[in-house]
Amino acid sequence: MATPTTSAASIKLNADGSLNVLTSSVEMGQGLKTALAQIAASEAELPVHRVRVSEPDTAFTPFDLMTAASRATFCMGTAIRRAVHQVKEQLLEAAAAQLEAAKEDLVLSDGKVMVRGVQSRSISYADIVRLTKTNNLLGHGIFVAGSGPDGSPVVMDFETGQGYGSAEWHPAVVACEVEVDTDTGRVKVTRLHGELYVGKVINPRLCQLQVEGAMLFALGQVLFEELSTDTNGGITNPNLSDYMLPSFEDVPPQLTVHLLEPHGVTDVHGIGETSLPPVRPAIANAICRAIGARILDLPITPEKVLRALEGQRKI
Amino acid sequence: MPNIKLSQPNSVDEALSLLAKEGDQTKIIAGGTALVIMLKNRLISPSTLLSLGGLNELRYIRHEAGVGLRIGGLVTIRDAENSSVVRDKHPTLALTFGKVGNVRVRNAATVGGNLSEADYASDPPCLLVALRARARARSIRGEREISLTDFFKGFYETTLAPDEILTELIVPDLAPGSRSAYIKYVSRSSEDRPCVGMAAVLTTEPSGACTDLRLVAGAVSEIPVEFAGAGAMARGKHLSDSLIQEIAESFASSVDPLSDLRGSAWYRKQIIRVMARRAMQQASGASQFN
Repeated sequence: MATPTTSAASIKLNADGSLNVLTSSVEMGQGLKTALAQIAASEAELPVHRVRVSEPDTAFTPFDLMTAASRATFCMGTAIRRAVHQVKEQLLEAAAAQLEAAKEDLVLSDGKVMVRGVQSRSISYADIVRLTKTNNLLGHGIFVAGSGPDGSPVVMDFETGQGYGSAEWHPAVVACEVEVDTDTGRVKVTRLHGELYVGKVINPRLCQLQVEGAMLFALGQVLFEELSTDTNGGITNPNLSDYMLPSFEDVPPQLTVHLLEPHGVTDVHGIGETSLPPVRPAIANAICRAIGARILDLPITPEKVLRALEGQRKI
Repeated sequence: MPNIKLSQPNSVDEALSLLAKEGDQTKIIAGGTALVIMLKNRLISPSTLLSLGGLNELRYIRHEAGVGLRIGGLVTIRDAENSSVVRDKHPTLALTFGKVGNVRVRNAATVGGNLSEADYASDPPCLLVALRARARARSIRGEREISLTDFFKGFYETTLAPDEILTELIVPDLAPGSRSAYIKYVSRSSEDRPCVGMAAVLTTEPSGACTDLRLVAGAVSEIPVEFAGAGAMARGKHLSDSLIQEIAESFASSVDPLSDLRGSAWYRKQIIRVMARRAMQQASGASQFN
């Protein structure tokens, strides 16, 4: 996760008891709107279908640094929880007066505030909003990353690139098996497994898929992706016909992911890129084990592999 | 793409007369999978696009005894790939059409467009040269047949005149005792265009002695490259592993391949040797397809 980092969110509890999340985080296929809706719903004690997450419009939606660096679920999710918390306080204040009970004796559940242990003494969010005559309850939350994984301040020296680059560590291990055609040098990744710490999982299926995506992203970097430039520095392959990404046929026949989510863990972790960096040395190491030569520059093209094999045949 | 006039004739005759009138500033568009990319990258700037989309008379695939397969120029590559007639008469050709781009591209791209574009890194031209296929071209001046061995001239360049349209592809039947193979070797993503394409057509007597061998490499030069010495080296002999190796070596050493993002000249030379060997092995019976 990039640091320093800031995310802000606004929450609007509507007169029908539904909840709107205003955020500048971007849904780009990673399932972020689903994850943020789940976080808001869980914090607000509402069914998830009663939560709507906005599209980003930076002229109107609150500030977010960027949707990148494995940060959105963690940073924006935290800002949303804080914003929902403000709305909950207003709900409890209003409900306490209406239900003639102390705030401490009230609980939120399924879109209602009720007196603990007394099902019959409850009031819906919609009724509370109506009673306040405001027609909506508003909350705001901001998350600013303050410290690194060991609690020390997050300080990055932009001149040297030294310092804490992240508010949390992202540990992952990747193992793989490759097949090398020793006539052509072409590498096929046959098995690829990622094992990573994910903290509390918001949505297991999306989490799994995003990790798979990160691993395929890395597979392309190891085997295919290469920017080509002319002598003036102009890019000569600025299209997806000449600049290669993996296709479905390049997906390892066995692609597996295991999410390490310790029992009872509560902290949410960014997972977008956790399994990405180790894919590169894992594939490179597997190729080295297969052919007995180490190739250090990416992408590891069939030509580089064949040249390495030819070098060995001459010895 | 501003200021481009689009002509949409409904018959070949109408298309030919439009083409004869419009002249050099007209580009023919069929499936558009190659042409639209060229337009977007501003590699071409025609004043008129002549669309062949309405020429349904050029959408047919049939087989004629004594002639062979006749495929209309507007047949999509996907339809040619899936055609039961093509699969029956030339299974290797059906498989080769199936290796072009991806299924989205094949559903739009046409057989005639693929040949007329003359992209050096394309699969069908290489095999079709080895199969001694012919293109039929028409203009208001008349009609002619061009052997594909003479059809390709250079990068994106054919012997078609500016007023000619490729109307038909003719693929003669294989001689009795013949088997063919095509290998598309990609050096990057599985959806990449070929680094090397290799076609082999092998004819043997019942005794197993070889009577003819044709080897053609694609994507290694501006146009498909045929190994002229293949037939002479194989004729009268059984295609043993050592002979296959010898022919493959000779082919590779005779070619001066190009370099591009898919591989250097050195690398292509190695791959020509490997793929020539594998294509001959496939054609000689080690493979499940003929």
